[in-house]
Parts: sequence; structure tokens; C-alpha cells
Amino acid sequence: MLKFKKETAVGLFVLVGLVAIIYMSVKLGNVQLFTDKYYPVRANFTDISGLKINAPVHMFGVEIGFVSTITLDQEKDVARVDMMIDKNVKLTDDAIVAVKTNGLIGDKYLKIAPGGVGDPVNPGDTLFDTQPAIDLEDLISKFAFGKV
Amino acid sequence: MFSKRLIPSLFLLCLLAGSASAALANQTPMERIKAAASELIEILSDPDMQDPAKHDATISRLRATAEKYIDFRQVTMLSVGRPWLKMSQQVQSDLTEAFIQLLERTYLQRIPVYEGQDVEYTKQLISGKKAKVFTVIVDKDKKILVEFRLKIIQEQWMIYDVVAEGVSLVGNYRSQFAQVLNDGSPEELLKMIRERVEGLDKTEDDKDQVNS
Repeated sequence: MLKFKKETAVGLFVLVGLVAIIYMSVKLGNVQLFTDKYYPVRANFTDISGLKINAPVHMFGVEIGFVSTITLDQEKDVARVDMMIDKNVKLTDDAIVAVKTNGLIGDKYLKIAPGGVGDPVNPGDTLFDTQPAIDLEDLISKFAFGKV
Repeated sequence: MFSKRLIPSLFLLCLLAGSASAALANQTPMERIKAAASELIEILSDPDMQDPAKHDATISRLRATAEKYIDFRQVTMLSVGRPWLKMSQQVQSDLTEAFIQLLERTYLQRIPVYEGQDVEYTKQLISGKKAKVFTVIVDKDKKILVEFRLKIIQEQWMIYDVVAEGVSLVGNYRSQFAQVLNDGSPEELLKMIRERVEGLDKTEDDKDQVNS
């Protein structure tokens, strides 16, 4: 009787530990399994230097999604970024997506400036108006050393 | 009976679709940009451009040419965003006119004498009714990346945004306009743009007086 109780306690302890591990990996690893909270939207950029997968997507500073995949489109010579956007956020096709930096040297994120006068964006659509990452070093050198 | 009626209408539809695509096929977005650039360069390289007395006439020539290739109503609408839909027709056209004047004062007055700057056309991307044309403006040893965004409006490719060195014109004004419209009415935005235009005119006059 006593032996059985001990084993049950160990089993329960292991089970609780496993559940905790799964919960933590899903939460911390940003795993989006079996969720229909988001819909995919695509955007092509000429330069996304520094943008990483899982980088946040902001609108008016509020996080509304994240970057799911980044691929190279060699046919068009652009970087293709797939985003997952919160289902409650409705976009129109005149929205401008820009690669921005958090502070001067912070991480890169995507900022969507909503338009509101275009056609609605459906899941899987591509946002046409994009702004590439601005290379600050490049800009400074251009204007500091550009003139002869 | 039904098919008899249907055939002429289908024929008309095909004809319309055919003529639309024919009109579109006339000029690719890149050809459109090339045409605009050569027309503007022609005006800028005119010796009259340097004559202060003919300055206003040149500006209006530049504006007329720009209006052929840029849809300013579209530029204003995209810059204003959602509040545009709630504005009356009168406010919309007033805002467009004021915005043209602001762009004119901000960019045209500052256009220096044309010194043989070269435009290199890198590539064009077309996606449905929208297109991007990538260009590099070479000014001596400086290279400025400029991207033109075009849209089919009345069967023609018209520019609706210009992105210079990664900074979009519409994007820039959209964030500024949103701030004004968030706190105030469209009339306030109109008033603000007009005041800015007056301010720019005043500094221009002051500069002329100093120079003379």
C-alpha cells in the first residue's frame, strides 16, 4: 500500500515536471502550434539587413504579429518576408511596411503604417508598399564624404 | 434568345478588355518613368530656368509636366489615409491643391541647375495593377537610390509614391498627417499646410531680397 503511494507520487511529480517543460518551451520558444489567432501576409523588400525570424510587427507601436519566415527570391531579386498578423487587425493594400530599428542600434522590427483607403488584404496576400532597412552607416558616409 | 443577347455583350467586353490591355501595353512602367525624366530634364536644362524673372513660368511648366505623370490626388489620399473617406469632396480637392503647393515649394524651388545628373534604370517589378521602378540618380560621385511606385489609373501608369534612399514620401507625410488629424479636424490640417506654404514663400522672398 505504502509502496504504491510512493510510486504514484513519483509518477505525478514527473508528469507535472513534463507539463511544466512543455509549457515553458511553447511559451518561451514562441511556438505557434494549433493556433488560429493569426493570418499570413507577405511583403517583399529590397533590403532587410538585421531582420530576424520572430521579429515583432508593430502598428502604432502596438505588437500585432511577428515575422514567420524569411526567404530569398532570386527571380525578382528581393527578400520575401512572411508575417503572421493578428486576426483582429484588418489591413488594406495601401498599408506601408517598413523595416525599422529599435533605437539607434537596437533590433530590427517591422512597422506597418495602415492606409485605410485601399482594398482589404486577405490571408496570403502580398503588401506591395514596403520600405527597406535604412543603412545608417551608408547614409552617413554618403553625406559626409560624398562631396568632392 | 438569351445567347443572342449575350454574344454582343461578350464581344463588347472582349473589345473593352482588349483595348485596355493594348493601352497598357503601350508603355511599361519603366518607359513611363523614362519619358517623365527626359521631359523634366529638357525643362531643367533650358537656359530660361536660370533666369529669375522666368522662375515662376518654369515652375508652372514643371508642375504641368509632373501632373502628367504623378497622380497628386492619389498621393494626397494615400498620405491622409482613412480620414479621407469622411472628408467632403470640397475638402478633398482643397487638400490636394494645398498639398501640391507644399510639395512644389518644398522640392521644386530647391531644384538646382541641371548639371548633367544621370539616371540609371535598374529594374521594374510589376504586380497586378501596381509596379515599382528602381533607379539610381548619379550626381558626380554621389549615387541616390530612388524607387518610383506606379499604379494603373485610367489605363495609364501613374506615380503615386517616390521612395528616396528607403524613405517613402507618402509614408513620411502619412505619419505627420495622422498626428494632426488625430488631434484636429481636416480643416486644421488644411490650415496647417497653407500656413507652411506661406512660410516657405516668405523665406523665399526674404532670400530674394538678400540676394538683390
